[in-house]
Amino acid sequence: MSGPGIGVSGGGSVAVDTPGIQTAAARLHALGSALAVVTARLAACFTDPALAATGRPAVRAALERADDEARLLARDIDEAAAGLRTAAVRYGETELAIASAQRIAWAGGAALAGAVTRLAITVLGPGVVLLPLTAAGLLAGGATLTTVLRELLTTGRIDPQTDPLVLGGLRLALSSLDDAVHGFELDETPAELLNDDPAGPDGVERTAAAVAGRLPDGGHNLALTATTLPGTLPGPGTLEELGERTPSVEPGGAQLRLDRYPMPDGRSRWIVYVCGTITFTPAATDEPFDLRSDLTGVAGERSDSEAALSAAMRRAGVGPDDPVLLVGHSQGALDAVRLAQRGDFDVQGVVTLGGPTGQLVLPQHVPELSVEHEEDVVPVLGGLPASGSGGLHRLVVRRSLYGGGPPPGPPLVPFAAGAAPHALTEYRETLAGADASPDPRLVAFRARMRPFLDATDGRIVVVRVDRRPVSRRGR
Amino acid sequence: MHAPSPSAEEVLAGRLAEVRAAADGLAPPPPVPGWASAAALEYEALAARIALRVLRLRAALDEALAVVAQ
Repeated sequence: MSGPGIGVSGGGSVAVDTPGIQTAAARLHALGSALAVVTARLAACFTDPALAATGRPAVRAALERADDEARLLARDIDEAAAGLRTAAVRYGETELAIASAQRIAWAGGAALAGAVTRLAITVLGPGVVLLPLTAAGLLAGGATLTTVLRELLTTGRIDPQTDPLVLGGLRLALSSLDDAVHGFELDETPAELLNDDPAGPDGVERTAAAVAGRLPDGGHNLALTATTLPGTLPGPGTLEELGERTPSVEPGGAQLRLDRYPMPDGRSRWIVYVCGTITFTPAATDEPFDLRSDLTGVAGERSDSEAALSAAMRRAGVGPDDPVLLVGHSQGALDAVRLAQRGDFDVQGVVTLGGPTGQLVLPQHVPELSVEHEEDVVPVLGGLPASGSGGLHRLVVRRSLYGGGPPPGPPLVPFAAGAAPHALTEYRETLAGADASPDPRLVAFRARMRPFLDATDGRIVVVRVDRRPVSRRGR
Repeated sequence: MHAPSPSAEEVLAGRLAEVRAAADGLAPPPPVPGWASAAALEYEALAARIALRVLRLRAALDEALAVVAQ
């Protein structure tokens, strides 16, 4: 079972911890602990001289019968714990199958709607396109109104942006957009219905590239300001500490942190931390961790923030043979995965926190741990997670912050919860759960990251990267 | 004056009473709602057996207490 409150999926199989499973596991654990007290006290009876002093075999025989019952109970508790793990895996497999069926149904519906629209335009003329657009608008509006009313009536809150049901629908809708376009063009294939291809025509990547292309650019260079902090520090030790060392979003502050640990053979081991989006303005400011980099990163091109990460690593002296662990939050997660995909550095591990990276597949030799909150909209923007062996390679730790209930905060205030589920502080807490989890996949991941976590004599370099206009004068 | 030393039976009965009190703290695991897989059914069967084993253990301890008291 996983640590409290988290679920783990990926890594070749799927296990989802439902609240029911967690309760049962906790009660089984408590029962085992209580039984340990019973057996310890019973063992004390056997060693007490009073037993021999009674001189009565019937007493010993009665104690042995009780001891036998305690052993049988202990055996059944162990068996039940194993059965619970098996049931959790089967539950997860069922959930995965349902998700796959939902995707196919949405893709099929979108393709059909596109095809019907095309045929209606052919038969009735271009004006008829307003009908499906109106219908889609009414459906979306109706769904939104229903959601808001349901939230209001059941919780007194209006926070659709943290509603897992809304986010699940959004994820499916985003992943089905290309199917609607292909249906309209009457060239949707069965393979496209079965598998979501973000890199395909009209997929998430192309769509993001098209939107990013409409944002102002203007040309620029990246200016790096690196500062080496005094003193040395030990490795992070835990996954939680990786989150603690990840830079928080701070306008004008350092976006990157590079910790360098010396290795006996003269190389260095690096842990590189990348912060999230700092500004969402569509204008091209001096901040490279912006909306444009978000879209460019999703599109698969090298965004300014990824270029900043790469440049900072080269400037700090990360060699091609130096082992690197990348840790990123939000946009930083996207940059970390994209950089690892390109193979420019010897990336030996990636930890992503709330990144839109579900559809991005890393090479098999790069272990990846992705942490996602069920109420966080950002991972949803990456579309449905990759399927097949690539998707299973990605180890996902999931946590529900509100357990299906409303977010804390004042009632009747629209969007009061804001983007709290995306906060780095919340992800740090989830990492603590991942540290405590005995799940074998997390145990294996922690073991592979141990050389990084337990490194010594680290030096910290923090880096601020700014965009600078390209000089027109030349040199 | 010293109180008379307890007999071996009294000492053992005292120890057994502690064991029996600890056995009262054994709470069988609850069923897990909403499951419908074969593995879940196996788990439910095991949980029912555990509940029975807890009762049998308590009965065995009661019997041992009775034997000591004879």
